[in-house]
Amino acid sequence: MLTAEGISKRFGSMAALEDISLTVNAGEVHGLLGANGAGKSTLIRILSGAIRPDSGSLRVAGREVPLGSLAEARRAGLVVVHQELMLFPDRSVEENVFASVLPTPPFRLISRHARHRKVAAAVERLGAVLDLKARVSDLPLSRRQLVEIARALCAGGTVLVLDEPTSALSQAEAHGLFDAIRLITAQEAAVIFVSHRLDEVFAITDALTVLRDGRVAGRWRTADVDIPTITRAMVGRRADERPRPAGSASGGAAAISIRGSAPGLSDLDLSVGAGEIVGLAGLEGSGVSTALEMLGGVLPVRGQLEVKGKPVTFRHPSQAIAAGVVYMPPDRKKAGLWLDRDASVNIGAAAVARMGALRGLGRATLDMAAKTRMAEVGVRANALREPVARLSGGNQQRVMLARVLEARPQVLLLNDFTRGVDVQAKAAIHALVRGLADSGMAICVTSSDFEELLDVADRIVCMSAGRIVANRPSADFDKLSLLALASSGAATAAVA
Amino acid sequence: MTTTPNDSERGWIRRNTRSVLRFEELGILGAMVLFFVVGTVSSPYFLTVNNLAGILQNITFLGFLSIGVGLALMAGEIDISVGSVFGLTAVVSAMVIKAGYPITEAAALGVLTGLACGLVNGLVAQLIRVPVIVVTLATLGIYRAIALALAGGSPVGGLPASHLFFDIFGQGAVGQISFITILFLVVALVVEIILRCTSSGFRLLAIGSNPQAAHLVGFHVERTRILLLAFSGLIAGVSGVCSVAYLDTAGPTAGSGYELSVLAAVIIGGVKLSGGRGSIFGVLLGLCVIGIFQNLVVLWGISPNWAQGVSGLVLIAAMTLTWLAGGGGRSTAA
Repeated sequence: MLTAEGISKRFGSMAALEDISLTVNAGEVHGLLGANGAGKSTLIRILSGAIRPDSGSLRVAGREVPLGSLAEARRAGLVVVHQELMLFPDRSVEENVFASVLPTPPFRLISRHARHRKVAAAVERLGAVLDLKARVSDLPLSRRQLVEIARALCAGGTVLVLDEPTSALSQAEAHGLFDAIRLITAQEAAVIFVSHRLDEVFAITDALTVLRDGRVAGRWRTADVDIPTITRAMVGRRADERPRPAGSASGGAAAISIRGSAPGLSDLDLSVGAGEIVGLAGLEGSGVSTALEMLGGVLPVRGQLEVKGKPVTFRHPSQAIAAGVVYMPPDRKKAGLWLDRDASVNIGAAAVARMGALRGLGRATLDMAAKTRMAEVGVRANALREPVARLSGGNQQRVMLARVLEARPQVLLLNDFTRGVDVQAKAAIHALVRGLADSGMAICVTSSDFEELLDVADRIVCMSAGRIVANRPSADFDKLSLLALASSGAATAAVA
Repeated sequence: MTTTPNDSERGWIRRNTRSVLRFEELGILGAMVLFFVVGTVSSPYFLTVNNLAGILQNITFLGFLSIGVGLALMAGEIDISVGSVFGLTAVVSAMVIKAGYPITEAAALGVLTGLACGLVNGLVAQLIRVPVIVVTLATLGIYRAIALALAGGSPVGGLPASHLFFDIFGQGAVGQISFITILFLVVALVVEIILRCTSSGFRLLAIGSNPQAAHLVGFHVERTRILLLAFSGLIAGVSGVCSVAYLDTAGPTAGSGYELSVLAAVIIGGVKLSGGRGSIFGVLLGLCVIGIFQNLVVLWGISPNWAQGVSGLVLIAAMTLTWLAGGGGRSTAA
């Protein structure tokens, strides 16, 4: 049905994909797996025509498909259903489904009956019960996903790529989706199912392709393979049995603790001791980021939050900061830094936050705060007067760290604390964080790189689908078992 | 994914940043000088003390409003209701004077009316989570209607002929510069000092530049924005009361169309439309450019029907120049 061969793509000096081949048969659900950064999304974007690979070919139903054109991919019947749904929330289900087949010459009249018949047929193929007149914004998320799939079918999709379709669904909803997928494939269409929840992949797919570091790490018939084999293929052997430094097991009195819930997050029970580094491990959508934001006063807490044993309520980040709890956001460009301002302003802002209104403030005050902290985190001094946009990713991250330190934290919450940072800068930041913990700070970190979390943290709290699935010293894990746990989905969450 | 610019890219960015800076600092001054020369050459009356003092007086009332709007814009907000607030506060204070109350009380009430108008703008925008441009567009109409209704559609005149408020504050001058203009310059200076040299000024610009980062650092983004809108109303009230002192009357339609001239002055003065950058000094220069242009329209004998059109043209010309100097907008990628 679909055959891709020799697909390679480089971004600058980095090879994103190297010689990827993928074969998907008609009537098959094909799982595409890989850890973060393995190349899944690049491959999806190439299949959808959004980007053109440097080399390679693609055939759908025996016909050659020109690469790098969204229109050609669509014409060949290749439709991607994205993680973030691309629907018109204010229009009805029917209009949304039909939007994909709007005739190309504009102003052509469309009969309401023809439209209704076409949409109803597509929805029927899914076996779904959808009120065609309902407004999409009134539907629950799981239904919206079906609308998107119906749209793909209506557009004549014969190969559907579902990108993390269950990431926001409950287990029951996911099973509803699986039924729909089975119905589609029974009608000779093929589905490429991209996910990092292994239990689901095993439940629904017929065959599997695993990517690692931009290459195909293996392909199997799902019936012939087990979960450990797959995780090993995803992680690579090398990371398997590396010994970990035993956790310092310091964990004094809890500096901060939380019991509560939030949308998409239930039964959160977490505490971090002074001098301890806790790594929150979880995949996208697992709730680790939400948990950190609740601790830092960025999101409201439903439940009990305690700092040094005293109950507190944070309505604004400033209250958390006053209590010594400081949150560092993951995205330095959006919520992290003032990119057009220099390091002095970016770091000094934390000192200004402590001042009252209308207090005299000169460059000297900002510089003093900035210089001390820059020395602490190892940013070269001549960055003081340079817009941080011009610094490297590693240095930007350090400027952000310098600022959270200037807020004088006792509890430090670092969200994806080495995002977009090169290897050397990573190592330096790890050493820095370790040093801070040794000086008595309680630190909670998240990272999309589990290897890094295991290196840095004393204790790992692993979350999956909004629940904590493990809470043990990091010496008890290796990358493989951690990834397996994080991918376990809601099913194992109930057991653990 | 972060990209580290290589050396040649870095040089390119630096060159561009520098040219933008040079434009922001000198461009407005250059434009002013140009208009000065054009004015002097084209009209013998332009470069006379009387004419220049007249220009200064004309931009004074606009100037108060521009300070408020400029600050709001620097923090990422906007206020287009100031012209109506100006008219309403003038009418309120004139009517209170006419009713026989002491002038100090009337002036205070006018200023407080302005404050209340601004607070309503800020609170409504915050409470119902509507962009403040929509709220102030609505109140632009509402405040104007209240002014018209209070005044019964015609100017509030017949104020007591002789009083310190009118004779000294309204008409007094040091040389050719009126007391009201001096008050404006003092207010501008104080606001500039607060903006550049205090914690509050730092917060204001930080909020305008990146509200999310400001929130996470612990700055009160929403509270600050409400306060700035309140201040914008307050200072429009000051302007309205001053206009009564100067003119001995208050027209309920006074100040209509000011929002265009005010925004033009603020934007020409280098306040970044998306917030985070700007200075009161720049706003003053922008005001001068607008003032000179409106003066030239009169001197050249162009029909006053074109007065507002001129502000609009100057605004578009200034933005085009900024765009050209910014490398056709590409420099924002830096």
